[in-house]
Amino acid sequence: MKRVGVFVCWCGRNIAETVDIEALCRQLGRDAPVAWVEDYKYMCSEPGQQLMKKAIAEQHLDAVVVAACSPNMHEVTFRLAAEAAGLNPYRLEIANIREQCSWVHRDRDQATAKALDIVRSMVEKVARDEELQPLRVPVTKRALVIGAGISGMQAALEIADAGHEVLLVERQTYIGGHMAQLSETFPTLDCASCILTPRTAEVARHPRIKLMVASEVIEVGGYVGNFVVRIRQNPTYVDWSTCTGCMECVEKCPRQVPSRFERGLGTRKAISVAFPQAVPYRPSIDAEACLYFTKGRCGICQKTCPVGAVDYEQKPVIHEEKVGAIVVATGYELFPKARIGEYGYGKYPDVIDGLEFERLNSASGPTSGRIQRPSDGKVPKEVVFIQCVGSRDQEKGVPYCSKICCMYTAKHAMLYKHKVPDGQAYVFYMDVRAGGKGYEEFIQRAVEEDGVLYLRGRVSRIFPEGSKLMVWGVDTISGEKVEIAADLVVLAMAMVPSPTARDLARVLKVSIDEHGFFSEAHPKLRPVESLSRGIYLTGCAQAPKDIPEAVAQAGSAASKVLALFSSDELLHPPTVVRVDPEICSGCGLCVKSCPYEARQIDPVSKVARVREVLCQGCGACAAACPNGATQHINFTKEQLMSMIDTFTGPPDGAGRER
Amino acid sequence: MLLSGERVRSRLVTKVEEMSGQRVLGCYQCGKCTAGCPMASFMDPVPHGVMRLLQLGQVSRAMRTAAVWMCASCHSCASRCPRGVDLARVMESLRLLILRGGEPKVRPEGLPAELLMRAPQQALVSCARKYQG
Amino acid sequence: MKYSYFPGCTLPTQMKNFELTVRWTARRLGIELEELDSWQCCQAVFPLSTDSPMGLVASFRALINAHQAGRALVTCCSGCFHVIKRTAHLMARDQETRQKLEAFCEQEYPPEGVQVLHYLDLLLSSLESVQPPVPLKDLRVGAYYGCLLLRPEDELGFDDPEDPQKMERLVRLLGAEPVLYAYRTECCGSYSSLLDRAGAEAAVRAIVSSARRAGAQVLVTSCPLCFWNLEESSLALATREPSFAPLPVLYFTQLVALALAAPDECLDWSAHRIDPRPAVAAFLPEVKEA
Repeated sequence: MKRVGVFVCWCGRNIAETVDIEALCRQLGRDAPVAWVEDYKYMCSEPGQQLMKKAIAEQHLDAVVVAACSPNMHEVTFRLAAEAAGLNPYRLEIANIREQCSWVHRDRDQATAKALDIVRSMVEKVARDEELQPLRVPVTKRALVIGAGISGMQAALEIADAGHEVLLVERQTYIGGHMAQLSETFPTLDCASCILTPRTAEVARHPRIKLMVASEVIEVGGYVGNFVVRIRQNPTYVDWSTCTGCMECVEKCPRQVPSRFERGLGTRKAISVAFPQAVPYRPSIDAEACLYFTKGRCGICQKTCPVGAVDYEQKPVIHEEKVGAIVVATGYELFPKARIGEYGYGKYPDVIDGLEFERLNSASGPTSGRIQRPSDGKVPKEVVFIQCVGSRDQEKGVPYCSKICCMYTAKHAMLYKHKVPDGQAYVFYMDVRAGGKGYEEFIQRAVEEDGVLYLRGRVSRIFPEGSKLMVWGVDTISGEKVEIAADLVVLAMAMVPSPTARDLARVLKVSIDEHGFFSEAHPKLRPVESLSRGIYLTGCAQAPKDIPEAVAQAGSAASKVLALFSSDELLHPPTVVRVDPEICSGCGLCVKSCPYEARQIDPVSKVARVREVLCQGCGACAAACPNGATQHINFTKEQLMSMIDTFTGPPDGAGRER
Repeated sequence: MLLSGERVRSRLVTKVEEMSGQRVLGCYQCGKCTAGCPMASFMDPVPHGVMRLLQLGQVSRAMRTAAVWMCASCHSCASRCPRGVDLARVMESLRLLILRGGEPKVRPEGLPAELLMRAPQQALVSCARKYQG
Repeated sequence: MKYSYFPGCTLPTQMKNFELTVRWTARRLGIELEELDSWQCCQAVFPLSTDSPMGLVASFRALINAHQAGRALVTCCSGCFHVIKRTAHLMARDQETRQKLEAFCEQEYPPEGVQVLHYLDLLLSSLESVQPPVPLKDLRVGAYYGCLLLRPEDELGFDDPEDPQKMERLVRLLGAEPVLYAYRTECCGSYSSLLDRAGAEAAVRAIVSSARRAGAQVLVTSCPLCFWNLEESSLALATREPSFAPLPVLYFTQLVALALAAPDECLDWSAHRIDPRPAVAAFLPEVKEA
């Protein structure tokens, strides 16, 4: 017979108000395996823990139940305390009499009776708990960062600076992400390139960052500390190891196509670098545009290249890499204008989105930074900016707020006014959400100093009338319908997750929310962790955010990775499943039921086995096993049945009602 | 305007919600309905203002607005509402509250005879349905 | 293929120009329209409150009659189409209202539903394979959709309410030139014109001016109420504002009839108060001198 100690927490009044602690302790004291009962106002406090430690030592307890709040809150606290007192931590269980009892009941007698049942059932369980030691697994101290926008680069740099190797994988042929497309940044109006290029250069020359552009993660196996990742490097049709970046091929290429980087406002050659400051500064061929690929003729670039780097036969290459941790930084896209019918389905050239305005305003953009409208190159004198297009629109867009549009719209209107002082800028807004350092002041500057006219309301319709765009809006403050004959309309489109996020989530086996953003483990306390250990989130892959936030989150994700890499071994909870090979019939139901690929049939012995470090202890296979060969350690069938018996057994003096 | 919990949660608001099948508080007052309303310049308050009155529990004031009668049920508002509120249905319920109170807005004898002669049936039937209940 | 034809209240009486050209074009193109037995006025407006199922009775009966005849129901008037199509949509989704109507009418609504079509759709598919004998060359036509045909889109499913294309396609098939103008989807004021002229006049001024600026010579509609509002308000505006120039209005079926060389007797111009004949003179049948 084990000597079980029970420690009942009042949790101030949280438990004590509803559960009669004294009666509970009195009843428990009479139960056979219970050798010691004690209660305390705050068991999780330092004196509370001391009291428990003292009792473990003095009363020679070999199992403990703490009747308190949810194990999510303090299981770790109490297990560490028990361990300090010499008790195997897996011999301590939490009986949740707060969330599952006192918080959800009013009747004191009934709540007390229920608390007694809960504690007793845990006493039954703990009496049968085995002493366990955590599983130990080695850690590959090398990180994978997916996405080389500002957030991914920041995470990569921080991990690499701390001395670990980083594999930075980027789908595009350049790094820098959307930030590379921006002209200036709010609220300081510093030039985006000026703050980005030092970062891209640092990434490119960092001895511990292995950069893979034009690459995608296609398969991820393994587990925390020991991931095996397959990466597909897509062909650029230029051998970058021999290419010198002379760009003669680009000069000679006869084919001009709309540039995706310029969001269709400028052109590029079929062989080109995305933009002049691109890192790596190496050309690649857009096979969909290239005459050689589409028509089978031309080949000028190959003939031009002085070092013979152009290679039309290049094929995708699959790389297999081992990493210990993964940071997801896949960023965002803008909701397509083409989905908003009342604003012209993206068909009016002078209705542009925010990123297009960034390119118009950028010194390296298609107009060299002059504000000219796309249709006829005229300088627009009446410019309408519309916020919340697609955002906060459950009907045609997304229900959430995209968070950054208020600020960048103010920035756009302000920059426009600086360049076209005699022009008029209007901003249609619903609310101005400017919560950030210096943000509200920035908005006020746009209004007061630059004379941007803020109109509170949405726009119902935009249509062309002659060379103008008629904008039908409203100013709800005056209650007036307003009509503006605009030269240019800029839509602050909703931010949506990168189109690749959904597939990547499947590959990584991590969850995404209903909109496709990666789900964090806890919205407040674990904002950069996914629910899978060793996979972390940063930047707009998790939710819309601005540059400072994306950078801060990158630091946080990097510090999680570094914490993981700070020891040579990882501890894995030992409460996994176990197979009795004598009973197992090799039916394979466990393999099917396991969501973590932790179950296999041994090819030789034909019985099931457990890959313990993959096992998350969910118990699905134990439930599926038809003959009880699979048992969940410390949640064995015998333990669970004894717990159930406690609840369904005959009532006793405590007055449980049936 | 005197506000109180009783007023804001008035029974008439519930009635409007039931008749229209729309949630008054679903509206977040963006004004897109007004921005696209072909009759807004003949309304005071404008469409989103009528919704606001309902949110404040001022149903009888909403019933006294020109908007209730000028609304042509063209659905420009509803088809673009980001909150999925069908304002045409809200306007109809306000009209019906008045008409069912026994006071038709238009009586056939009130229309000019030559208009009655000229107007197509579709116009007269619509008019009767909307303005006589 | 045979269809159950729902003429509605206005076509056989005051808008014979619409009705005659519907019947003639159908005969000419082999579209068999069989008038529905004992139809009643659709009530012109769709009841927008949840507690007025009586407003649905006429369209409910029309749908059941069409079903019993084993045919799809066809209407030409935007108003009828709007009301009946929305009723059919409601019947598929609102079991409670359906049961109320079934009990009241003592008739069962077919569980598989009833197809409701607009005559414009039938014309579009028939005209694909027909070379119009009198192509309406160089005629610039402003299609006027208004509201009843387009909104609410999820119930009517007729065309994109922000950028409809069907009437323009029809105009093109007839050899004429469609004119896109901003107000083609804006409301004409509808029934409010009987209460207050000002609203409808403002709406019509904007519609007609917008179409004129875009170069339209005629407007085309499928709604008698739009037809009337456009004419009535245009004439009133023209007397007060010398600068306002009205545009003649035609039903889409009249345009088709012209292109298909309809005989003079089925082109009734008496309902038009703004004479469209000068605009379409080149395409009129030659009238024998009496």
